[in-house]
Amino acid sequence: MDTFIQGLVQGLAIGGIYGLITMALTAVYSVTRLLNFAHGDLMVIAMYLALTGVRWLGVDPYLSILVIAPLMFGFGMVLFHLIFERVLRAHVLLVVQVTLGLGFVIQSALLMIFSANYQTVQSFLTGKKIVLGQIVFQATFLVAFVVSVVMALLFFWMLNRTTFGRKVRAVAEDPTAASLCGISVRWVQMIVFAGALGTLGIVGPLVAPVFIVEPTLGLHLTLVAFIVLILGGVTNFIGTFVAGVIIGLAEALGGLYMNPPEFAGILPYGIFILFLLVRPSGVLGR
Amino acid sequence: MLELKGLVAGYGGVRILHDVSLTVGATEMVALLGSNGVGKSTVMKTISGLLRSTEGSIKFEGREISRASPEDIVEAGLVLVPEGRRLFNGMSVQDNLLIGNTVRHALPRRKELLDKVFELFPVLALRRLQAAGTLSGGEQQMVAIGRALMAAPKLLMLDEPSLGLAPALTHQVFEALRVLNKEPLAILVVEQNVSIALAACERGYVLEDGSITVSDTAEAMRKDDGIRKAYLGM
Amino acid sequence: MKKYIPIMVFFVCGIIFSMVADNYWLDIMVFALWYAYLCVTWNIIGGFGGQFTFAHPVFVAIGGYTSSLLFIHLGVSPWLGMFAGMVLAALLAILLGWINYRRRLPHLTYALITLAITFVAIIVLRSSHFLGGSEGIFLPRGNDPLTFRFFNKQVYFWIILAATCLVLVFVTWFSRSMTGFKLTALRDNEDAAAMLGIDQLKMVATYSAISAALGAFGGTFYAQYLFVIDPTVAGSHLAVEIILFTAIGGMGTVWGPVLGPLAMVVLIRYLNAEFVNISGLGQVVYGVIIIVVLVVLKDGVVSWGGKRLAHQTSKLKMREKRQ
Repeated sequence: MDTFIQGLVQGLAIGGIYGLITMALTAVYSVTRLLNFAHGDLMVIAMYLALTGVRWLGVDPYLSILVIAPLMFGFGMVLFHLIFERVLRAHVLLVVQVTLGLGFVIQSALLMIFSANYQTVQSFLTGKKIVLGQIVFQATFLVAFVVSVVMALLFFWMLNRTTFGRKVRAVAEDPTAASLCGISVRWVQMIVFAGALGTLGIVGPLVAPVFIVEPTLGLHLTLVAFIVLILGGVTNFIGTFVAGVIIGLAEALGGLYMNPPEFAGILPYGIFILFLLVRPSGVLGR
Repeated sequence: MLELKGLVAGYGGVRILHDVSLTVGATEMVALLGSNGVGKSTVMKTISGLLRSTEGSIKFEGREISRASPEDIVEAGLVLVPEGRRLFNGMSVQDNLLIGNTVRHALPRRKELLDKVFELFPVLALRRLQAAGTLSGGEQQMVAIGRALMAAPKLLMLDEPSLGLAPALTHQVFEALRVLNKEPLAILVVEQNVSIALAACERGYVLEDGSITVSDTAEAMRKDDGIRKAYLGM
Repeated sequence: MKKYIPIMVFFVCGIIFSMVADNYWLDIMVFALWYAYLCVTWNIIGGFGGQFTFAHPVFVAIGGYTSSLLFIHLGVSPWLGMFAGMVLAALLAILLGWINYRRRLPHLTYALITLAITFVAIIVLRSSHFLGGSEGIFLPRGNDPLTFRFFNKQVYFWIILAATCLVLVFVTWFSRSMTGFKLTALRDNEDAAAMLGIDQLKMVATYSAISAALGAFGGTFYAQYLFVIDPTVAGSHLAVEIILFTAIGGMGTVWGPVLGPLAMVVLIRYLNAEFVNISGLGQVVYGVIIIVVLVVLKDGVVSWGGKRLAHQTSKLKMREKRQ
């Protein structure tokens, strides 16, 4: 029973993180209709930045968020202007190719700089555990989960209660009408994109102590994000978060009860493929 | 206030407008008429910046705006209520109106403008928090007009406001437009419903084959046999 | 016959190269041609057929693992074993194509499913003891033509050169043929194609199967060249490389998928020589070039060149007419 609860907690934590990562992807999709295949790789950049902070500057990853998040935000604005702005109206498969190319560049650059070795990132919380009765939580997991939930809530607040959030909702629903209301659609798109990268800049260092860091993690994370995106209902942010949690739970509990444990990795993909076979149309619609 | 000269525009190599010229004065209410598919919406899209013209000029208050972005044009005071209304159906009536209040010069007047809209269309105050998509056609048109008004326009353009509306509601809408025009607020209306357009406006244009073929006072047009036969079925 | 001349030239150049090159260069060009082979075979269904798929490496893995397992456990020569691999790959491709057709999957959805399949494939390969786990399957080295094993790299080069040229012949024929036209018509507008009576399922299934089977041979070749086959060959990394190298060359063209990988190899060779200390720089630069080309040209180099050429020739023709 204890292992089950522990698996449950772990699944919830990872799931919350998946949910938040995907919400960033969803936000970008909703205002630009672009599917960024480099999403995961961008987060891996943030993870490696955290690693650099720990290794070369002795800075704890949680602290490095203060620098990495704004950096990623700025990088997002540059990236949007250089690449994404130009392919906004292009055929969807061209966008896939361009973003795959971007992911490829990022992966190759990381391989070049850091080599393919698996790395771990230590933080001051590594190894620390929180005990509640019979259950033991890893502190790093818990922090990651709590921050994910908080950020998700912040996002909902921003979307529904601020002027900017209203503009985002308008652009997401009808960009033409939005521009006729005086909204600079391009500006909203850029800020949302940069904001998504900024979010990855927070989540990256946050989960660096939790995941194993290696350059090819990117595409895997991107695929998980897409799976969660589709399962959650594409433009439905709450659904996205819930779907993330489900996937996280599937992975964690699968890892506990499947034999061999590595097979659990198949579960998210299995769920995904089954879901798509049962209701494929009208989910992404392209 | 608004002046089009020799406007040429189209989609992807197909020319819709060949040579369109018209004017709208600062206090006028002008109608743009023509049969279906002749290009009236194209004129509106080009003026509002959604479509780029290939030749000709569009001047608003003396400034050339044919190359301006839609949001800059709204900022300048030229606002379009698009065909089919294009409300944000998922958002509340209030949110739709507030979105209209985005441009810099209108922001400080938010409360005042909002009150004005509810005064003009009292039924909207009742449906403030309702999702815009759940309103009736006539109410949606009111929201669309209200949303445009929240941008404190100097010239209001409407693309087929009577579309899908019952006659009684159409009258209501045009009554509101008449009131607005008296403030003064310049208005340019594209309409299929010729009789009500000519009844409310003081001048009119007819668009045919991509250019203006008739330009006259509304009264003269009402009496014109040619127009009456072609558009009023008499 | 005229249209096959470029292939013959290519073949002859290849033979000449193999006579003068040293082992180091031969090794590099074997890989370059292997990539070219994979890209051309993928392009049959990916570029021409419009079925954007990440699954090609899975077919490669099926081919390599099948022939290797048959060789190790049953002593079957890979020359024969490879056909088993090709059949299995073709069957999987037909299954995927059928699912795609029956469920009317949007292109992006199908692409994501095939991407997921590569991840599943890697996990399965890594977890299975019978399939060699993470280490893969090792083949005994030897020099025995009957079992597709050679000491001489030249022979491998000739094999992959011949294979690539044969596939290019097929693609050249195909791109000018009625069936090729039907397939691209299908790609460009499915509804219109249906009205023309083009049997979508039959077409897609046939060409997916062909593409997959040919890809499987690539897997057998890989295993025989390196004397080992491991799970990474089924992975998304290779899938992305295939897609990108084809994209930069030009999807749906004959020579695009050859130009792309060859250019990569030359570039990497050059950069590794210039910047010996920074390994991997070649890929980074190549990746950046890909992005720039795609963003600016919106199409591969060969396609763009083809359009420019067509534009120039039509201009010339107009001038002729006027005179």
